[in-house]
Parts: sequence; C-alpha cells; structure tokens
Amino acid sequence: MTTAPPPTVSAPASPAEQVYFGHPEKKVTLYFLVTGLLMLLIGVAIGPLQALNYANIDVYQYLPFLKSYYQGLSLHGVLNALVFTTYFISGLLLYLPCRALGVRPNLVVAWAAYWTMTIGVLMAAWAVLGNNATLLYTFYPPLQGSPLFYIGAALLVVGSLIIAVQVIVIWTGWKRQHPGETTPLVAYMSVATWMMWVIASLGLVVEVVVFLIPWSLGWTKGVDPLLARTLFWYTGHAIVYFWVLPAYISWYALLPRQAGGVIASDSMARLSFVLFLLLSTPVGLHHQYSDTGLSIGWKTVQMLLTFLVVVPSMLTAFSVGASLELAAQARGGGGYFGWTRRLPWKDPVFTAQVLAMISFIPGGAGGIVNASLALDTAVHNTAWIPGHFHITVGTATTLTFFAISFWLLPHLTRKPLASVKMALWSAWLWFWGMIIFAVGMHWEGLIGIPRRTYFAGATGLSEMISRAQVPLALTGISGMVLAVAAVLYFTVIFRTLLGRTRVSAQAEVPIPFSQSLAEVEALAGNGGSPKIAGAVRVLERLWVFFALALALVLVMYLPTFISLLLNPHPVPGLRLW
Amino acid sequence: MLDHHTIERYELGWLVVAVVMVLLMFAGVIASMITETVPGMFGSPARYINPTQLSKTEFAAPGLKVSPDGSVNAYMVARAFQFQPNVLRVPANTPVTLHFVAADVIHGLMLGQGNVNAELVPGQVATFTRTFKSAGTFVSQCNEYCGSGHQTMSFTLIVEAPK
Ligand code: HEM
Ligand SMILES: [Cu+2]
Ligand SMILES: [Cu+2]
Repeated sequence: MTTAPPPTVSAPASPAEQVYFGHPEKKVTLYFLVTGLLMLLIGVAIGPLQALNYANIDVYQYLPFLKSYYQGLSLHGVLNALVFTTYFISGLLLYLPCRALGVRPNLVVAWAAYWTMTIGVLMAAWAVLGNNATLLYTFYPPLQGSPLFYIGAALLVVGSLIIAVQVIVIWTGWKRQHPGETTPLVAYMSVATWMMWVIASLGLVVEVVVFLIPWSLGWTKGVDPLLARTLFWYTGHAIVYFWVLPAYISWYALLPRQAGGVIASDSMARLSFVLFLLLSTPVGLHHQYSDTGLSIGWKTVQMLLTFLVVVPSMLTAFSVGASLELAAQARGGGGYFGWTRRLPWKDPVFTAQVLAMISFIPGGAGGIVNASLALDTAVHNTAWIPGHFHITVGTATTLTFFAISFWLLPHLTRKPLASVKMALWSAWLWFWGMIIFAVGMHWEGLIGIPRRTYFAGATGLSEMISRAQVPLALTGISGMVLAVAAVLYFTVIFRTLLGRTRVSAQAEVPIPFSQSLAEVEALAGNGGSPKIAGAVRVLERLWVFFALALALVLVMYLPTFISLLLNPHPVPGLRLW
Repeated sequence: MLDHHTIERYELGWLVVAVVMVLLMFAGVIASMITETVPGMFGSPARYINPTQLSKTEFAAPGLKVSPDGSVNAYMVARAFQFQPNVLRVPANTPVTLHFVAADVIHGLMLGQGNVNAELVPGQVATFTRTFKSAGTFVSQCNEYCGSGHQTMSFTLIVEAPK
C-alpha cells in the first residue's frame, strides 16, 4: 500500500545533500539505524554456531578468532540485546516523534549522542574481542572484566539518555506552543517510552558507574554481588519493555495505515502506554526468585505487579487486531476469519510485523510462566529462558525492526527497497526459524538442560542429552534456517543502501502515521465523544505519570536497597576465563 | 463498519477480561506457594557467611553429616570449577537439609529431583530441606556461568534405598 510507490527515477542521481535537504535529521537517524544493524550482523553471525553447540556439534575448535564459546556468547548477547537495540531505538524514537510533532531536533545534540554511544561501543568491543570481558551480557561480579567494558557500557546508556532527554524536552516545548492540543499518538508513545527508560536505566547506571568502574580500575577492593545483581535486574527487566515498546508503537500507530486502515482506538493505546510506564520498572526482583538473601515478601509483591503487565499487553493485542480487521474490511474482507485473507501479505513491511506479533503470543505466555515464583523454579537458568527471549526480543522486536527497516531506510535514503521478494522470504524464514528454535529450547529447558553451557567437554549432561535428542536437533536445524534468513535480510539491506537509484522527492516513501477511527469519524461529521476526550486529557499529563512511576519504584525497591546497603558484603574480583 | 464508540465498548469489556485473568493468576500462584509446590519457599532464612573464611564454619569439611538426634545435613561448597563434594549420597525417604554456599564467584544448581534451583551468590547460604523418595543417580551441572570451566562443574546426587 503505502510502502512501495512506483519508483520514479530522477535522471541524475541526486547528491546526498539534496536527499537530506529539509530534514537533515534524516542523516543522523540513518547512522543510528545502520550502525545498529551492523552490530546485529556481527552478533547474529555467532548465533547459528551456538545453535549447533546445542545440537552437540562443536565448531568452536575450528574458530581461531574466538577464544571460547563464552567469548562468542558474550559478543552475541551484548551486540544483539544491548547494542543493536539501543542504536536502533535511539534513531527510531528520535526521528518519529520529531516528525510527528513537526519539530527539528538539535542536530549537535543528536550527533553527540551518536558519537558517545559509538565511542562506548568501540571501547567495550575492544575489551570483548580481546577476551578481556568474557562476562556474558549480564556481567555479574565478582567476575571482573576490563574497565574498558564497563566504561563502554556506561557510555552506550548515556548516549541513549541524551536522546531521551532531547525528545522529552522537544515534547515539553511543543506542549508550551500548542496549549490544549493533544500530542500526536506516535510522539505520545515515544515520550512515554523514553520516560520509562530514564527511570529504568538508573539501576544499570548506578551499578556500573558507582560500583563496577571504580572496582575494575582497582580503586575499590570489592563489590557486593547481590547488590550488583539487584541493580542489574532493576534495569534488566524494564529494558525488555524498552525493546518491545518501539515495536508496539509501530504496531499501534504505523501498521494500521500500512495495512490500509485506521487505528481502532487511540485513547486505549495511550492508556496502555501509561500502564507500561508505571509497571515496567518496579518488578525486576522476578529475575531473582532463586537468589537467597532477598525477602520473599518483596519477591511476591513484585510478582503480582509483574502479572499486571498482562493488562496493557492484552489491550495491545485487542487494538491491533481490531485495526487489522478494520483494514481488511476496508479492502472488502469479511467473516470471522475470512478477513485475514484480504490483508497485504505480499508486503514485507506488513507481513514481518504480523509474524512478529504472532511470535509474541507464545512469548508472552512463556513470560507468565517465568514470572510465577513457583513455576520459575522449573525453568530458571535452563535453555527455556533463551527459548523465551528469542521469540520476544529476538523476534517480536527484531522482526518488527526488520519491517521498519524495509520502509524507513528507503524513506531516509530515497533508495527503493532492493528486493521485495527477498525481504518477504527473510521475514518468513526468520519467523519459522525462531519458532523451531523456541520449541527446541523450551523443551530442552523442561528436561533440565542448562543455558550458557559449552557442550563439548560438559561433564554432567550425558543423561539429559540422551533424553533430549529431538529438541536438541530442532535447535541445530533452527540455527541453519536462521542463518539463511539473516543472509537474505542483510543482502536486501545492503543492496538497498548501496543502490544507486534514488526516487524523486515526491515519490519518497511517506511515514505511515495512521489516523484513528475517531478522527476519521470526526472528519466525516459525527464528532468525538466528550467522555473519551476527557480520558485523553487526563492521559496527556505524562509528567504526572512519570512522577507516579518514580514513586512506585521507590516503594517497591527502597526497602531492599536500604537493607543491602546497610549490610554490604563486598568480595574481590576474579578473572576465571 | 463499526464506529469507535462500539469498538471502545468492546475493548473495555476486554479490559475487564484481562483484569479477571490477572486476578485468577494471582490466586493460582499464591495457592501454589501456600501449598508449597516448591517446598520451603517461605521457611528458609537468609544467612550470610564470609566466603573467604569457610574454614571457620560448618562448610570447613563439606559432606553429609548425621547428627546424634538423627537429623541429616549436607554441606556443599561451590567453587570454580567444582562442587565439594561433587557426589552426594543421601538416604531415601529421610528428610535431608542441603546447605550450599559459593566461595568465589556466582554459581548455580538445579536438582530436578526435589524442585531445587538456587543461584549461589558468594557467601549467601542456600538451604533446602527435601525428602527424596525415589532411589537413583541424578547428575546435574552448575547452571550459572562462572568462567571457562563452567561446563565441567557437575554434581551427582545419589539417593540410596534403605539397606
Ligand atoms: C541467527 C539468529 C540467532 C540464533 C541462531 C541465536 C542462537 C542463540 C543460542 C543458541 C543462544 C543460547 C546460548 C547459550 O545459552 O549457551 C543464544 C543466546 C542469546 N541470544 Fe541469540 N540467536 C540469534 C539471534 C538473536 C537475536 C536477534 C537476539 C536479540 C536481539 C539474540 C539475543 C540473545 C541473547 C541476549 C542471548 C543470551 C546470551 C547469554 O546467555 O549471555 N539472539 N542465542
Ligand atoms: Cu523480567
Ligand atoms: Cu558455573
């Protein structure tokens, strides 16, 4: 629909300056996105090797550039989960809200954020590539890596916070200039996401800046590992919402137009983002059910709060489903399920996002299992866990980001997508690859196979392996499917970016900001209801919800942190790899 | 085509469904905790001992200890890259209290038998009382990354039928 306009090729390829003319922020956005994708390329290249490891096939002995399985796993986890996501989200959630509000960001600040991040990532990469930070992406002390790694990680987060502050400042400025107006949906959701991240990143920032950096430099003798874990997971849970909310923004506010329809309910979308702002952070203890030394009471309370996140997730499912049905009806579809046939399945932008959403259904269900104090005992630290997050961040988020790259890169560069067909294939293969992966890994987890284990040389697995032949084979096969998917995806992306033809400015892929049903009705003359407008006016006060979210976090975490700080148990660092 | 009021009415209904679902989940999980699906979740007190001075504690000589009153305790130390002892024999059908502590970095252990899954943070003692019913040999591994030898850190639990 809106994604592939017939390319009208302008005779001489326009110089790059002209492409960014009018919107110079396109360039910095492009840098964020493409750097993120390059990091993903490296991270993903190691994934299939890990999948083979889980099929009990050892290729690491032939790899001169990786000192160990765990060095590879550190690269994979850090680059995919932390670096790729942070770059991509920083670019996306800078560009979209600014365009939605019609405000140009301060480019000096945006580039400063980009370079802060990049210097940080280069430092951390240097440490990991030199095998001096083989800590996995959770870097729990007392395992101690090179200071470069921790400083780099801090700079990565600082870069994202610069963008966060910039977007929030732009929004407050816009509010001042547009009193009484409702923030456009995409900008609203972006600001809510960045506010959430500002609160959520505090744990990681304190852990790294106050404890790990001085300790790794030898300025302090020890770090309390339990305190460090608690700070890490304070951010570590909320970060999953930092990964998923940008995908939700796309599903809620861009996909309807890409499918040829409208947003079913604008106010419910706002409500669910306010709920995410409130509920993403005060729940990190659910990653520490198995840690002795923390109170069972607070674990239980945070478990209950975790379950509440089900509510905005279900709202999202409803809204997005309704929007798609409306779109299909607008295209002449009908019936209970028959309408789904009328959707634009040939469009990779659409299809990749729908597949991402489908993968999120089992992903969410598995998350409920992990969040249950009792059930978690059966799966904690088993292969189940990577099984779970590859269909959440690894598919729901990543495949949505693929879809976004299929329209946003052409939008930013005015270069048409190199191959629609190959893009479609990459999406389907990624989806099926991850589904097979997830089936295998969840199943292995139930048998008791641990995660993060180099199989060659493992001494305690043989009996479990004999019971897990089928799922282990599934993991191996999925790795191969995913390798093909990744090759296709990156081929499309690089062929697009390196392509020579640029379409004319008029033929630029538009940003698919969708209209809401209420807006369409209002335009047609049957005005909006005052009651819903009232709800939107309440939801518009994001600063109030920000303050509430902070207060909730203090209530949920302060007692635990106070008791940890009053009884510190620092231990010295060790390098055991 | 539906108008947005109707859709929002349906969506409010759905919101209620979601809230009811969450409440049922609360109830289910709390019930499973009260009935002790995972035994001893409420009971085990947090205890910290200095991991560099284990020799001054009951972990000085790791292994199984039967007290004069008949109670059975097992003390296990996890350190890179070994559990001490790495084979533990326990009697079947007898309550056994397992005490784990990590001496250097974080380790972890899952015993499929008896619903044990512990993150062993240095010095934080993890205690579980279990009665193992079926005799047999159960092998598991350290399940928290602890360094290059992580995969070689196995633990064998042998439950012996009474002779
Ligand atoms: C080609 C696609 C991929 C394959 C075949 C793959 C495979 C794997 C496997 C087998 C593991 C488990 C390793 C272990 O526990 O020992 C793993 C871990 C992980 N993967 Fe992937 N993965 C892929 C893509 C991704 C993506 C796209 C992301 C995130 C955006 C991701 C994030 C992670 C993270 C965070 C871990 C955990 C690392 C750790 O335990 O420290 N992976 N991956
Ligand atoms: Cu979590
Ligand atoms: Cu280990």
